[in-house]
Amino acid sequence: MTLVELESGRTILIDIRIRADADDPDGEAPDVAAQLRSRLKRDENDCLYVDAFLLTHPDADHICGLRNHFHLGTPEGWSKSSDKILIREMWSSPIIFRRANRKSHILCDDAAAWATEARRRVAYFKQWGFANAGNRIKVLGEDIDRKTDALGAILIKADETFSTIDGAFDSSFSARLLGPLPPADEAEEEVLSKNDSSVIIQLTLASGNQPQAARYLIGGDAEVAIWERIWAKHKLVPDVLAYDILIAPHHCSWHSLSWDSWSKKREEAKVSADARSALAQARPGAVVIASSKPVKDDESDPPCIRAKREYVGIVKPVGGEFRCVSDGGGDEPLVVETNWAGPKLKRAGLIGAGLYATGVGSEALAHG
Amino acid sequence: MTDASAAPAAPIPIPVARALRQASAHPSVDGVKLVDRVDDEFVYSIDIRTEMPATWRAVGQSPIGVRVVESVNLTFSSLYPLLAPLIELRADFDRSHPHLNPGPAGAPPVPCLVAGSPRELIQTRGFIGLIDQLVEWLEKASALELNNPAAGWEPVRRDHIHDIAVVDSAALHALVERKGGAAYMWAPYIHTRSDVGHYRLHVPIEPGPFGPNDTRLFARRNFRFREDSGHCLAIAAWAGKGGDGQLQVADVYRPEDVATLADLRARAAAYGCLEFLDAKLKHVASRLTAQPIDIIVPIVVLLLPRRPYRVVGTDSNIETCGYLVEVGKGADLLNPETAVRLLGHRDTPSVAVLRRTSGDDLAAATLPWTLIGCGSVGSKLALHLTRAGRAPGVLVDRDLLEPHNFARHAALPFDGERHSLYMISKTYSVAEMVRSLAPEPKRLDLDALSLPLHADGRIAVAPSATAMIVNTTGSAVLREVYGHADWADRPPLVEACLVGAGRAAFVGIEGSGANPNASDLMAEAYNVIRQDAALADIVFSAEAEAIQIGQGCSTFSFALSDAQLSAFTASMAMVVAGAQREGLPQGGEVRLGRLGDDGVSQQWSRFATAPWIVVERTAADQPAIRIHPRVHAAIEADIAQWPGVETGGVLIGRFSQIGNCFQVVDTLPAPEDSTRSVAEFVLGTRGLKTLIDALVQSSRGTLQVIGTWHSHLQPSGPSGTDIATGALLATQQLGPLLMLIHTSGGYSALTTEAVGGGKTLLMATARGSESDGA
Repeated sequence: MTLVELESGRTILIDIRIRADADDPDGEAPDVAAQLRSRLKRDENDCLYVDAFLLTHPDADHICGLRNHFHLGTPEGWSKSSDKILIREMWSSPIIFRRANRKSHILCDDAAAWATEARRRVAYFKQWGFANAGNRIKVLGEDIDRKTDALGAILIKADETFSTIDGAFDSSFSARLLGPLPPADEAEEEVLSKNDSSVIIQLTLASGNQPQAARYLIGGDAEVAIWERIWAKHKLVPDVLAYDILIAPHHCSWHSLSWDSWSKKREEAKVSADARSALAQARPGAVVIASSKPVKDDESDPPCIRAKREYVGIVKPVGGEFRCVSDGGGDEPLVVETNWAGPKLKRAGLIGAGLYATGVGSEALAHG
Repeated sequence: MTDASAAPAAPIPIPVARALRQASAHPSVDGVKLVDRVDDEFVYSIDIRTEMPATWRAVGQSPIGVRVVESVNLTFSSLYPLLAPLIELRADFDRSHPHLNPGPAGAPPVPCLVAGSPRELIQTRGFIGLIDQLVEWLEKASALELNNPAAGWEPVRRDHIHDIAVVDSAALHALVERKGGAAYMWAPYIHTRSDVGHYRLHVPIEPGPFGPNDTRLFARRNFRFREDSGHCLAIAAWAGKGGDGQLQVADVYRPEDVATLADLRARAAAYGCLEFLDAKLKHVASRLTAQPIDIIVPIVVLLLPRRPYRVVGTDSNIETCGYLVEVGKGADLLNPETAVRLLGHRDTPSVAVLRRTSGDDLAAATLPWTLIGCGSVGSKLALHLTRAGRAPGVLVDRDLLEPHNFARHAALPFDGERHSLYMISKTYSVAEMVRSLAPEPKRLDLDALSLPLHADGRIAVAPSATAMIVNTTGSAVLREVYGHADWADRPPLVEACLVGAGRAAFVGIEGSGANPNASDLMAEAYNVIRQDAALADIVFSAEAEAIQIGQGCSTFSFALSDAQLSAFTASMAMVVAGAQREGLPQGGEVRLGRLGDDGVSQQWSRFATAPWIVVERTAADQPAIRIHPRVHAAIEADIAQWPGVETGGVLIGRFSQIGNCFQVVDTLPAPEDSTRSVAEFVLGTRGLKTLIDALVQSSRGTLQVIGTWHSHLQPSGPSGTDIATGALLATQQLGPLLMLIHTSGGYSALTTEAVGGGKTLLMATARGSESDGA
């Protein structure tokens, strides 16, 4: 889960993973729903909202918790008693419309709920030719067979740049859609879908009169074939891939960088030069963030130690860093602040860093 | 330095080891290592990682030179944790940051981490709290956020300086013109004869010449046993325009490191005022050469750099940097090596200082005000407001300060047990307190009641521009006299008093145009109180206990501790100060405070009142009628409920004898056996007596039934039926009776009263409209 708060105050939520365990106060998982809610604003009806919710792709670990925590259906149906978060505008990949009909990819219940809501909003737009907050949607990328051609204003095509959010122009950001790429044919579609065709977006944030104060590259779970294609397309103008902050694709998976299996081939596994190049456009001081468990030196993937080594190799020459959201051990989220000088990681607070930790409360303690 | 591994094996004290363990656990600490130990002092180097924007991290440091990883030395003495460790940055750390403690140029910079004491921080938040503060300091330093326009320019750290000059900053800064310059001033000083010999100076801002015959510099006299004193010369210097024609602004922060005349001149050059300072220094030096002195005297130098924006804690962009040079006995002003001492600065207690410290805004309105009543509540209100930079301009009270007053009055006895000999008035005692912080207020040792009756008295109570009269006498008569006074431009009254034997408090603030007036507000307060049984019990059940003062003398006053009185008075002072700062409300306002059952807590409520509807009298003796908007709304609602017929009800309120007016604050609905028709409204009786009894009981008689209202379908005055009813009721009511008539054209009224043993009936009619309330 990534929450971007623009200088204008608007918010873009990117993917969520709110497990049932996280909703249990005694559970081990941090209460991410509470962390999210504490950072969102309420409107005049006391309704919590995000201005945009970008779902990069409909895997369970990117959409889990949608029904529990977000209002679905018409905005008029929102109620204070349930106090769910209103999504003013959905930003959705077109794959959502297809996966629901494919047997190879079964959508989890939350993803199916997202697809239903997305289709409701598309239908609303088709009926009225416009939409208001809570009914708005942007479809990011064209579908095969020109199925999305009729969407007009709500369709963003690959390589287009947009600066509108929830129906308003916002000068504090611009987003360039890099993927999903429209597949040329069924065979390619098969390859791409197996590689977790995600929304890939370069997000440029303005701050303190610096229109390009920070660049984020966000690629969901996109894997090696996607990144190779992206590189082939942009290698002559690689600036569209440049980043200060890269959210390491697929939770720091080796499969974003290589065709080989890390667990089987280990050090024999070869990195794809093109995929690596696509992910190597780090600007000075860039940070690669792994949204994953701590990266361990073992055969697990993701997160994969070999992928981490590649990312360290990419950012070290430019004075950058590799960070994992679970570094530090605390439950507090990793916060990146952007000012005129660029993006900066917010240092961990004392409470969140577990410095006031105690062994009491973790298990039954015998007292003789 | 010794290598850690070569350190003697003597164990590290447990508190130090614990501190280091905590430091290591801080997420921003990369490493901790022992770098030196001398006897029982341990020096540790702590590597602190600062999060920086990407482009800065790429080059390893921020534009101002703070490194991504800074090594900071912490020196623990054997007194830790009683004494916080000394924290030193690397010697070449950029010094252009505020919050660096003053120190010589060669020594490592010492960050000033907290406004208070570091050891207090360690006690309250643990050693980790100190480290966190250090991390925060470095992060802000890296981004130059220690100084920013929003928070203001951080003045140069000048803590722990024992030579002090007391200066009125506002007056000093007023010397600074766009043209650069310097000025002499003469400052009386006291010099203690301790080892170091601390100086205390007061620099009055009265620039004057240092004439050829002026010998003040050379005269010194013994002041007291351990001190000597004299007059010294102070030189203030400031910058003008630079070579580029622009005003010279000292926008680079420099920590204080002046130790010699050469340093001082370098500092003056940096602040753009060297040429002006030099001219004065040379002049004084030539005088000293011509007439050498055999004693040591101080010379004060005040550099006044112009900062790019407002200096923190002030309203000015001029900073005051003071220095002191001792001359005489061979020490001179031309030798660059002559020692210079840092001179701390204390402001004179001015309105600006008081306002700032009170969290009040100097730019906020200053409303001249008059205090009537200088007793315990009044004296404390005056003191609170004076300390907030809002002192009263006129004090009115005719009483003397008697011995029993000292139980609660803000003043203390003039001369112990002989106090009463001197006949000290209450206004005098309050004026003495006020004048130590503000211009001396005017005193009127007169009966406040008589003053509104003649023009001279009105001007004395409220000189021109007086914005409010605060009445703390608690006198019901005074409230009526002032509230209803025939005084066209009377400033609004604010009443503040304790009620209910000191267990409740009342503040009333009049609306504009004295509508509602102080008397109306108390009537409204009674109406609010009667509806709250617990509060009514407190306010209306109080039995004033006479306190025996001396044989044959007694006064009405409540037995009440000073602390309890002060607790309420403090709250009332906040309300009055708020009205001063933010301006008076358009409508009136009632505030009621009550003491909780625990005898300590307070609960305050606020009741705003829109302007009342006033039906003015049309003849001299005729009562006026003042109607609360709530009553008008209730009447209109009742009429809307009964279209096409006359309707009516019962009026609740009071009659002010002094104001000769009815104050209507509420209504009782017509009993269910009332009848309504096109021709008339007949007020029934069923259940009405019970309601009236309850009203009188709940308000303990402060409010009563004062008459009735009814509607006329056409604009018209009292009918024959009305007059007959009025005459009947007048004989049954001991005070005047009001029959209020609502018509579509406004209100008219019939007032009747039986006087002369019930034989003479006075009748009068009045006509008014809703807009009369304005």
